[in-house]
This record gives sequence, C-alpha cells and structure tokens, in this order.
Amino acid sequence: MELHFSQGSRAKKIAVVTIAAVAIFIVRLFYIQVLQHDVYVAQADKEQIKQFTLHAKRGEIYAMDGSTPTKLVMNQTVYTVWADPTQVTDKSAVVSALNDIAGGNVRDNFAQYLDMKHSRYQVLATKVTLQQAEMLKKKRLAGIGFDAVSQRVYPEGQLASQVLGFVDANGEGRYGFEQANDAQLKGKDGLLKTVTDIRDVPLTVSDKNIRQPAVNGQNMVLTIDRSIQAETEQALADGVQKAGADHASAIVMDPSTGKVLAMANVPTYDPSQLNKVTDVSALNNDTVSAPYEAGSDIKTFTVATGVDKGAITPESTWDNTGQIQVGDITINNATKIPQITGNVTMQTALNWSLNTGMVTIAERLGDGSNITYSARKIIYDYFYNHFRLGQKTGIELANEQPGIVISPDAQDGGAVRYSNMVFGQGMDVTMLQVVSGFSAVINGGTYRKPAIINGVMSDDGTTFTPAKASTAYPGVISPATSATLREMVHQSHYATYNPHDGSDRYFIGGKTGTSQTIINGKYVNNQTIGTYLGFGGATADKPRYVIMIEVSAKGKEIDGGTGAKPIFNTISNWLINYLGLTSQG
Amino acid sequence: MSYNRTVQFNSRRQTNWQRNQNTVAFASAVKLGPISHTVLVALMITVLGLIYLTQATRVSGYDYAANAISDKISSLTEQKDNLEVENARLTALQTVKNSNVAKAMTTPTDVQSVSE
Repeated sequence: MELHFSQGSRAKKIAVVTIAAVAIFIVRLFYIQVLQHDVYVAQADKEQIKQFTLHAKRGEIYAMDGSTPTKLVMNQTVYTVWADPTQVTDKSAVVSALNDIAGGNVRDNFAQYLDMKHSRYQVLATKVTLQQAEMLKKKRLAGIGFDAVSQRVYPEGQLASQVLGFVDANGEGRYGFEQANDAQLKGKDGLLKTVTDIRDVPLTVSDKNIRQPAVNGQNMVLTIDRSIQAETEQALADGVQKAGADHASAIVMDPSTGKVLAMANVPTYDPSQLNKVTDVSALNNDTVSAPYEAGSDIKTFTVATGVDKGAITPESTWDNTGQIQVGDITINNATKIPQITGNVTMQTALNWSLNTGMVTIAERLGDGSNITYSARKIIYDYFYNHFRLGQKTGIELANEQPGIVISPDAQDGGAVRYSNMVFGQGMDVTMLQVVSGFSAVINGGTYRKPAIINGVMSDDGTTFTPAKASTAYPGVISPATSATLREMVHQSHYATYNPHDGSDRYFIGGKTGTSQTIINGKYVNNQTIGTYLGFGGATADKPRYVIMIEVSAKGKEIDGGTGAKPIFNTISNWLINYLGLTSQG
Repeated sequence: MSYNRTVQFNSRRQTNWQRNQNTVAFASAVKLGPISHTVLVALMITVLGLIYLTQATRVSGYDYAANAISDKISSLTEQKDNLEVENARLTALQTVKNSNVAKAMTTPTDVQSVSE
C-alpha cells in the first residue's frame, strides 16, 4: 500500500513517530524474546514451575489369622505442628489451643519456642492426628503450620516386633522384615513437575508439566500366625518369670512347609515407642542373629546321622561307663546313675542325653573306636550339607548370621572337636538353623528352606496371592530314618516326663538341651542355656509343628528340662487345640 | 431529471489495456486512511488476545476444581486409613482379650473329648 502524505502534514508526523516507536519495540522484543530467550525462560520456570515428590505408600505387613491375612503393620498420616515465631501474633491463643487439642503430643515447654524470634521453624507438637489438626486449623492461628507425615502403626502392639523391625525417621527399614525387604516395601516415589499459581495449585497451561505416578510398596503377608505368635510370646514371658531367667527365645515352624508360625524373644520392645528402648539388644531377633552352642538338641542330628548311615539302631548298645576318652580329653555325662550305666541302648542315650553315647556313634561312623577322618567327613556332610547347620538359611529377615561348623579339613577340625560337636558343643548355630534341620529330620527327610513370606496382598488389600512353596531339598535322610527318629524323640519326650495333661493322646516328641557357655574363652558351669526342641501332631506319621525354646540368664544355671520344657509343653498343648488335632487315645 | 452515481467506475483503457480484460475497476467511495488501518489491526489483535485469555482462564478454572477434588480425595483417603487403623486396633488380639465380653467368660467345669 502506498501512502500519500502531504508535505509536513500531521499524519505524516504521527506515522513517523509510530514507526519509530514500533521499531524500538521490535528491537527490544527481539532482544528479549530471541537473544535473551533462554535466560527469561529459565527465570520464568524457576518462579512458575514447582516440583513435587509424589510419595509412594509403604507396603503394609500382614500376619495370618488362621487362613486369613490380618494387618500387623499399617500406615497412618499424622501431623507435625510447627510455628514461625516471627509470624505468631497471639502467643497465649496458640498455647491454649495446643494444650486443649493436642496436649499429649506437644513438646515439653513448647511455649518457649514461640519466643525464638531468630528462627522461622519451631516444632511444637508431633504425631498429631487428622482430627486434632483440623480442629487446630479451624482456630486460624497466625504463624502456625502443619506438615503431614506418614508413620507406621502397630494395631497389635508389640506382637512380633523383633520379626518386623521398624522404620526410622528417614523412612528406611531397620532390623527384621522391614530392613530385609525394604526395597519391596518402600515402592518408588513419583514426580509432579508443574506450573503452579501463587498458592502452589498445579495448572495445566504448560507443555512442561511432568507427572510420574508413585508406585506403592508391596503389601506383604508373613507366615506368622498372630494367635500362635501371641501365645508363644505369652508362654515365653511366663516361662522366663518362672525360671528366673532374663532371656528367652522361641520358634514355631510348620515342618512340612518350612513356614515360621511364630518367632519370639524376651525381652522385646514396642516399635511404636522406640524412645523407650533402653537396651538396643532388645531390637535383635536372636533366633536368627545370635549363633550359640545349641547343646544336646544336636544329639537328634547325631542319632539321625548314625541311623541313616546304618551305624546304629535305637536298640544298639554300648558299655556306658559315664565317661569316654577322646585324644587327651575325657568326656563325661552330666547324669551318672546306676540304671544308665553298663550296657545301654542308643534310645537310652537319647532319653538321658548321654554324651558318651553320641561319641560312640561318631566312633562307629569311623573304625568303631576312633572318630576318624572319614567319620568326621560324614558328620560334617550331614551337619553342614544335609541339615544346613552353620550357614545362613536365607530367610527374609535382617542380620541373619551363619554361625560356624568346623570342617574336618580345618586345622582345628580333629577328633576332639568332633567329639564335642556330636553333643552340640564346639560349633555355633542359630535356633532357626536347628529348627529347620530338625524339621527335615522328622518330616520324612526333606529340608525346607525356612520361609517368613506367605504371599502378597493387592494394593487395595482385598486379594491375597500366596507365595510359591519354599525350596525343598529332599533326601536329607531316608523316610525310614525319619520315622525311626520320630519314635526315638517321642520316647525321649516322655522318658522323664509324665504330664497327665492329655498330651500323651497325641504324638509329641522332644529333646532337652543344656549348654555350657563360654566366658573369657572358657566353658563355665554356673551359666547354662536351657533349650527344648520338639514336635507334635495327631499321629506319628504327620508332625504338624516343631517348637524350639531357649532360656538363659546371666550367672545362672538353667537346664532344658526345668527351664525350657514347660514352655514347650504350654505352647504344644495350646497348639493341639488351636490346630484342632484329633486325639488317638 | 438528474441523478447521482453512487458507484464510480474508472476506465482502465488508458493504462495497459489488453484484450479480454475488464475495462473498468470497482472502487469504494468509503476511504480508510493509514491510521484507521493501524487501529483496526490493533483492535483485531486485541480481540484475539482476549479470546485466548478467556480460554486459558477457563482451563485454569478447571485446574482449581481438579485441585479441590484432589484435596478432597486425599482427605477422605486419610479418614479411611484412620478408620482402618481404628478397626484393626479394635479387632487386635489384646483388645479382644481385654474386652468386657472376654472378661465375662468363664472356664467350663467339665470338658470331654470325643475320640474319632
């Protein structure tokens, strides 16, 4: 378009001015929008785009209630109430409201923090519930803020606390199941990157918005049965009191599946009140993390080895003098009475827990009078490779320790060592290893890797998907040997026990263990650990449970028969009813 | 009788006339100057800008509604979680054991088992 202006006309002047102004704008805009594009975009993004973490919900933990999963660990949102002291205008109103609404959750002398004008964040109360937080918000207190925090809650209190572990302030699983399965329970946090308005409300006007949804942690179901666990914990607590002990542990296992039905220790702790734990050793699950010399319970493994190798039968005899010489040491029996002296059977050896009988079995695995290298190889093969003692079981719990079973090829793996090992000394094992190995001894000869995970629950907590059966290692001993051992251990249980409690109408078996402890590198007799290892079922051919009890106290002699066996009987008799076993008598 | 022409036809014969071309061209009597043109263009840009702003604001309005619903969902989820925790606590073994119903239970004096 051709413009025609009169010379010196007003329109021409306006046009010139306008063109000049537009030219200035264009140059400036070119500078801002093209040359400084990246700078201003970054500046705008910094102010407008906010990044939020979409927190994944930590998986809940269930136990079994019979055949139904029930919640053992849950999540709950609680609030931390904080103050910006510089913004608080009515201190007395804040103090009054917090005392009235959240009195049990406030910090000690929280009012003093409101005077700290140099700070802009002072925590006044923690673990405030949603209802309390909403009541406080309605007060519209100036300078008061709320932070939502997810915390673990334990509806069953301290039940199975050492199995569960806990979650620390950083959201990391500590001890027990929480630590061992942290990655699976934790899930994966998501990300929300979005343009927001001044109130941080996400807006959809930008093509730079990013939303990566959080992946919630897996809800997991334990093999622990809450009723069996509760009964076990109660029986342990009562038993410790009766025995005058200061420590006890117990495991209940299904021998056919390797599932741990209960696992408990005394003393224990309440995971919701960690601040009250004074002794950190209470956090440990000693059944998996404290290897010890299991003592005479191991005799069931020695007898199983002897029977399986054909070296002995329950009726095999030897001349028991109450002591036996191995190399330069003399091994004695704890019990020396006439009725078990002279020609006695291997069944008697098990009934009376005769160390000399076990050494005799070890000798018969060799040349008949010495614990030879080949005998030691056989014992090691059975203990380590068949019964898997002295190695981690691989259970999904934190801090499992392997213990140690000395190989005959080791420098200190000689006859003396093995003469001790056959009655449970000179090697360190965990209770879980013993229970798992013993389950193989009495279940027909199949070792099952012990399991604590029974399955998973769907995200909405409605669908239970069972885990696949744990790894099985059949042929640990022959089924015939297993049947023989069940009968021998059954007789051993009643050899020194006439309960009149009706349990004899079922098929119960067990073996005591009383182990010396090592203090400053030497065995001492004034501090012993009492244990009891046994099983139960309606009939001889189908054991339904294996129970192991361990009781001890510093500076105190506690034997398996009087310290641990009563606890075993309490749990065993209760289990007969709970499992609905049918009596045979 | 006289009449006025409202439409003006300009002869194009004087200028580069060729065969089969119109010999006249239409020209409106209403003249728009350069300033009017500029103002009109500015007005059009303004109208378009307003339309854009209206639409953008409407989308933002939906964002606020969505955010309010999201907050509501969070609040209800929290309440649901709290109720589930309360439910779990009420059905916990220790709670059941200490309940009035459990305390009122008595131990049977005579129990007989049936052998099968």
